[in-house]
Amino acid sequence: MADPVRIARLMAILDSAWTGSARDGAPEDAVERAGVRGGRGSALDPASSSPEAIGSDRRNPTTVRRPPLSLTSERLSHVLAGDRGDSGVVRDLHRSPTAAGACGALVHALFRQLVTVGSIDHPMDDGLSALEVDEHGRRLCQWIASLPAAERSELAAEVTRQAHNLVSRWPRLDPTWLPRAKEYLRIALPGGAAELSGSVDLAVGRPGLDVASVALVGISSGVRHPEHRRALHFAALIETLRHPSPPFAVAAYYTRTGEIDVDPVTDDLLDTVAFRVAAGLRILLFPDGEVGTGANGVVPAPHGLSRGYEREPVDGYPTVDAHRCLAIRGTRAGTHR
Amino acid sequence: MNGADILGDPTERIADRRHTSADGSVRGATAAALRQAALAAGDAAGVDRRVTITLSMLRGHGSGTEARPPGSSPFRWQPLFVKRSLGLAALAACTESSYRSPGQAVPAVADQAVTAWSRTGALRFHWEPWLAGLGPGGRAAVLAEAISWASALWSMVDWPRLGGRVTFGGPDDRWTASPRQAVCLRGRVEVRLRSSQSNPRASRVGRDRDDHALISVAGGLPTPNWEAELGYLALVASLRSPGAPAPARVVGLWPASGQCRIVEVDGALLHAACHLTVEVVEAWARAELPDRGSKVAA
Repeated sequence: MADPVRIARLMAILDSAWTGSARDGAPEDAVERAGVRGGRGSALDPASSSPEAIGSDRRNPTTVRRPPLSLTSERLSHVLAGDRGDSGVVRDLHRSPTAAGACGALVHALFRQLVTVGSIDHPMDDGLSALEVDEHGRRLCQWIASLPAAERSELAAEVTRQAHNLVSRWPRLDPTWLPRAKEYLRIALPGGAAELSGSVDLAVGRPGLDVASVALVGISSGVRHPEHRRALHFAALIETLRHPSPPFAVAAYYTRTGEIDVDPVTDDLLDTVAFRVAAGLRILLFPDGEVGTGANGVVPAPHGLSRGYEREPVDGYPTVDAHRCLAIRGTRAGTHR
Repeated sequence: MNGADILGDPTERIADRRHTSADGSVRGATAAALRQAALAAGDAAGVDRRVTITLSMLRGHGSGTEARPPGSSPFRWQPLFVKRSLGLAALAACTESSYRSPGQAVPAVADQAVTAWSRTGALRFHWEPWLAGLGPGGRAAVLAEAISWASALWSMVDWPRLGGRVTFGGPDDRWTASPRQAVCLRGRVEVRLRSSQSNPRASRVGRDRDDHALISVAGGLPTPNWEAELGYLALVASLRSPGAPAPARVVGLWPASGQCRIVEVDGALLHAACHLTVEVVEAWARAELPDRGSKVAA
């Protein structure tokens, strides 16, 4: 159900990045301290919103804007691991292509094709054809073409193997579930000082309803890594803040093995992500540790921060049939027509 | 405001509004201000320099990521450029025929467009030859982009309920700001809505059929200037057709952030849009013509 209390609670946790109020207490305490609209001086307090950040009068345009702090799941992990994360984007742009990266890009393109048209006939040709349609992909195609024949052949064999896995295991989704292959999510925190952004490889279900109707899926052509699920949990938080209802589940699908990890989206999970985000924002916003930092400028993990990740083995999750999982949940992802 | 808030009829309040936006003096004043800025920019630019001002340029203004005017880099088709026209045609097909979702309509509309072009040589969208030349993977990438874009828009508004009052896409509004045509304003909206309600006040002046609202769709987040930016679309529409009422409302949708913002069009909004447009024209002149830009600033 659409739940204003949930939103207030998540916002209060996020607001603790500015106030530090949720650091030592339970989320309920944070909500009480911050109030539904946020405490005085907080990012959620309309009176404290900076004119430079949001414009003093929306009908009288300002010409100078302060760029908001932009946080992605990857940057958040860097920050919480002790890396300020400022260079994360630059590092990505200049990262040299690798065979694993090329395989991932091709498999992602094939996954998109399968979801969109329902078939993959010639995996390597289709994947390269998909990459060729934009500038970034064209550069990767050139790199693949420059590989020695043996390496290119090995890459093609792995892509073909994973494509066959996809075709044999991935369900055909009913178009009325509104499957969106690659969905971008972005939300500004009140006050305009920070933004959260991310993307998922697949979203199904109609957003904007009062009941949880959306599922978010991320795929990976490599081995299982906790970061995959963290990215999906981060996306679940953004989805919850941008639409009336949270997604009902997030799923990480591994094309190499056909395994899928499904996490129902609960208030507990959302609180955990919100605490992680607040901790990351606090580090980025107060690098000198004005707000509640511990030794060495590192913010202590807030209450519950690591909850949900403690039990996370790299392997050993039960394999769940993707079709069954999505079909069962898909009945809730009904059409509005 | 979340996207669900637009599930009501975006034009429902049109019938109650006063036609202040149609006031000739407002249009005259904004047109005069824009002409003055265009003239100054044109004088600085010389006879060969022209610029088309777009909503993207307004959105980038002041953010440090100024959008370049159309035509400033070599054009090459990519899915990003196809998603809007294909997505809008698919949404029209969804409301007019039996397609139940953009996922069904997009591939069908794309196939029909390519087939029609192959048969007659006529281009409806201009991307038909490019799409026809792609392999299955490339074609799927284009369709996927359009489906995602259209599905996001499809789920934000109850389009079937609006029935035949909706027009998806359509030609851009254009207005040239000076006799020398140095500056052209282009307003591109995704959807136009006509009011279903009869307006007794408007009927007396024969305007009931002209009440309409515009819907604009953008990526990312609303900028701090979102009201003036939406007002720009009403401004261009208003300047283009000085004899007709200006749009009553402009609705902004930002599907990636689930945002829906609505502005009622009045004189203050048109003035704000004019002010922002003049700033962008002046910024263009300064950026393109740094040696002569001081004349514009002066």
